[in-house]
Amino acid sequence: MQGTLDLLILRTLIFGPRHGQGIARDIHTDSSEELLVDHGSLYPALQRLEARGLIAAEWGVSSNNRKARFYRLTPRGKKALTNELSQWKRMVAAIGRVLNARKTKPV
Amino acid sequence: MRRKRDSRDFDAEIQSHLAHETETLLNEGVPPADAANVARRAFGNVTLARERFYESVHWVWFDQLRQDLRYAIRVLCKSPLFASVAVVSLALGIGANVALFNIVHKLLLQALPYRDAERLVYVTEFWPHEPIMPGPPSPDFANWRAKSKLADGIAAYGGGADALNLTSRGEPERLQGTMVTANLLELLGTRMALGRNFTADEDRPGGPAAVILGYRLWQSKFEASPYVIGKTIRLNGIPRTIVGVLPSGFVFPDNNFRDQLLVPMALAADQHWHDDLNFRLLRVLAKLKPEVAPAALKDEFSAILRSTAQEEPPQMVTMRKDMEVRMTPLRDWLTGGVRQMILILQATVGLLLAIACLNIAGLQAARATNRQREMCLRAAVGAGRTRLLKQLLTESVLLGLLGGALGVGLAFWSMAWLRAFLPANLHLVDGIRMNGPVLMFAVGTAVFAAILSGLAPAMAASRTHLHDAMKEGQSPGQGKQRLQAALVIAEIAMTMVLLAGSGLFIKRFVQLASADPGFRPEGVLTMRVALPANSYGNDRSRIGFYTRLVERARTIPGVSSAAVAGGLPVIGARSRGGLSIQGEPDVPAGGRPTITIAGITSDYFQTLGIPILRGRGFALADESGPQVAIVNEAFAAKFFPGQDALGKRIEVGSREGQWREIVGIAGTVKQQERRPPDPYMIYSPLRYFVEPEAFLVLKSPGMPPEQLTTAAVAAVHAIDPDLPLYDVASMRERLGSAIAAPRASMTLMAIFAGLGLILSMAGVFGVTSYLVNRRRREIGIRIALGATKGRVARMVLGRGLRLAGVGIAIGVGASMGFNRALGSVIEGIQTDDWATLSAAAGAFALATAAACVFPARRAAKADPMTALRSE
Repeated sequence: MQGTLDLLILRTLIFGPRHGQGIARDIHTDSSEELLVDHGSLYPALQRLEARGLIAAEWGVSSNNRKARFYRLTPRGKKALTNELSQWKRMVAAIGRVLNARKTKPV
Repeated sequence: MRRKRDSRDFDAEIQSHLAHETETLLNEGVPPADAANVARRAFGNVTLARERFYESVHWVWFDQLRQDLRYAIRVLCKSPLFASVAVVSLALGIGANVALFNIVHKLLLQALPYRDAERLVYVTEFWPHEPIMPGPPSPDFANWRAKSKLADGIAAYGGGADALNLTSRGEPERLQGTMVTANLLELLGTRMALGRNFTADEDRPGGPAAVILGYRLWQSKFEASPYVIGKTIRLNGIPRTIVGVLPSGFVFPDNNFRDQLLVPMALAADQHWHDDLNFRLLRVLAKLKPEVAPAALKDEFSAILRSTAQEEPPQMVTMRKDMEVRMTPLRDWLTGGVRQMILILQATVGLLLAIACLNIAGLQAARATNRQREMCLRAAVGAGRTRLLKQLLTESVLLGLLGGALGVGLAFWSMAWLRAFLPANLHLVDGIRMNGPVLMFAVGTAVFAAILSGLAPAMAASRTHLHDAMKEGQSPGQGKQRLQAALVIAEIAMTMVLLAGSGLFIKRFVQLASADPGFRPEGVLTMRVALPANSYGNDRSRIGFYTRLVERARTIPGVSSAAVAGGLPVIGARSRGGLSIQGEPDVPAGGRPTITIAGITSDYFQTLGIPILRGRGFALADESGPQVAIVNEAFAAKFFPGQDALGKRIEVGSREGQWREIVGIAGTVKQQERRPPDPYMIYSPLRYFVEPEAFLVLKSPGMPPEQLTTAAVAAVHAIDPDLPLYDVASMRERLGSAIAAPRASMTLMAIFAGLGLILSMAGVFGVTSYLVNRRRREIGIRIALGATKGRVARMVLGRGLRLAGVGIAIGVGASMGFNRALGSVIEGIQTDDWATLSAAAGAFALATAAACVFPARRAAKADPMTALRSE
């Protein structure tokens, strides 16, 4: 779903700056290993979010002493995340209601 | 601003990602030998990620465009012949279109050079049954000006005495002056170059005599001196003070008037109808108030015209009973004469451009087959169809823009040349030059032409079949051959339309030019002389002058006969009068037909070689005896059908009781074309119909008439040194200028059709020789198997002629529609002219055959061995 990956990335960055591989790993582990992101497809999404000013990036040194490009949430990104999250939740709830509707209504 | 990342930075990030992943995998216990590979696999397609990154930060299309452009330049440089043929034919097509559009833009689209020009209307009065529109009489003008509530100003000009002799500066000179009301320049919003407009005081009878100089006159005759204001010049002997100079771009709002000099109209304030009928006929220009329709103003003016009936003398009332008012938007008034021809020419050059485009499309399609392998190669290394299409169209657009640039140059250079084909008095197009909108049109045309010529072949070429391409030397695909054939057929059909159309123009011109003019123009020189009212105030003094002039002119060496006349063949005469015929029931003045009348001296018919068909010419005795008249044949046939006109008595004009006996019938001479035709003519002995302006006519057999000019000027100055001679021209010239407009339109049409013919011949030639080239192997086999050379040549020729035949057949059908459209707007064009049509078709078939001969011969000469080996 368009934007789902964006949402996941933004959500991951709420805990602080991460580099690309870290984000991919986080999404993988946070989803109890349910969601496997093709690492390659992560980068166009990051590129997009950066272009929209929702995240910012900077080269830095990672915990294992390697150069890495770190992404962090901008204030605009935080606001967007809050918005998207509540929208997402409403939609999930709505979809859930639709999917459960058959049981309660007489046919 | 966000700094743009370059792709190296992104590569570093990918490397960093892979390194981190590998380490994480090692920590998770993946064997070191596999870790890097697993990391890579988890990442997916690295190249794809790179490309997507690249596309996200670059204007890829711009990149590709640059690439395509570079490639296109290389490709075109490699086939210079094709490139130059394409550029030149596009330049011709675009140049012709731009040049004509420049004129269309100036005349029909751009705002006229007057303030609120779209609200200006030209006001005329007319009788429904009369061919001639008399200008509104001055009382009507005065009434409209006083009473109209819908007009935002009414001005008048003309009104007689447009001839002014400037006598104070050296050799007396004849200038075209125009009388104007003081508010005319105001109504037009003209800003003077120097000085001021006329004041109301100068525009009343007896007011200070003032004059405004035209810009060109000021430049040529007054050395562009800023000190001319306040100076005095003598015009027709009257001193006038120069009060202003018109601006340089000023165009008088009427093609029939010049702006060399403007003098105030000075209409009497009391312009009611008088019993003595002393009024002037004017030209009237009115400006509508905003939001007022011309029809509303017309109704108002008609109502005002009717409301003054009780002031009019009784004979005027009957005459003006069914007089109508017409409002012509100023633009139509100024451009009406040329509008249709210009639009036809614009359509013609549009057709020419289409032919050029089809021509290039045909060549492109031929080349596309040669380039099939190149296309397939590009497709094989990953170019999508849109990418191929884009690249091919880039080539076309490049050609289009090159052709367009050259075409604009061509148009620029041909403007002066094209101007000469428009009527000389169409001053709106004087000094016409390229401007922004026209350049925009040029660019638009170039791009449009490029896409038109490039799209179909590009579509065909980009449809690649990889495995076909690997098979070398196969003959072109059926589809592509069909496309080429269709293009050639369309091209031929369009050219056929052009040829047939121009054929009609040529035919019309030949008919006009070869028509018997009814007189012998050879060796006849003519010129005008105008007698100013202050020194030649009555008929007697004028007759005296003219008589002496003829006597003197006759003695000029080389002159065999001379005459003075109020009119000339081709030019016509300026006077008309209402006709009554003795013995027929009297018709009230307004219902009488008005006939042209000219006073002539006795040698007029002999000098001009006009035959007297019956009766006699004028004799000296007619100068003093009872009034007589000579009428022309057309008059006799019209007013005395089936009777003998000789001996009948007629009266012309409002001088009652002056019956003239018809003593002769002269041949009808060619006159300016009028609609409806008005060839009727009455001649009077000069003594009984004398006007302040006349032509001097000299016949000099056996020498160029122009050589008489100096002697003629001397003859005039010997009688009156202050009189200028002007409008000097041989009758040949006058006859030529009478058919100048049909000649111009014919010439242009013929040129455009010729260009079209050359283009489509080049197209036929190109496509045929290309086909021969492609079929070399097949032809080689045929010859090897025993086909004779003649047979091979016939095959090639036959194919070319088959295409031409289909094209011509379609073209003939289309021509009939086009010609019918032409016939409905151009006078004297026959619509279903089979002779012209079949002549054009025949000529075209011959031309096509000629274009095929060379490729056919080449095919026949093909040596079967080399043909077979070459693939």
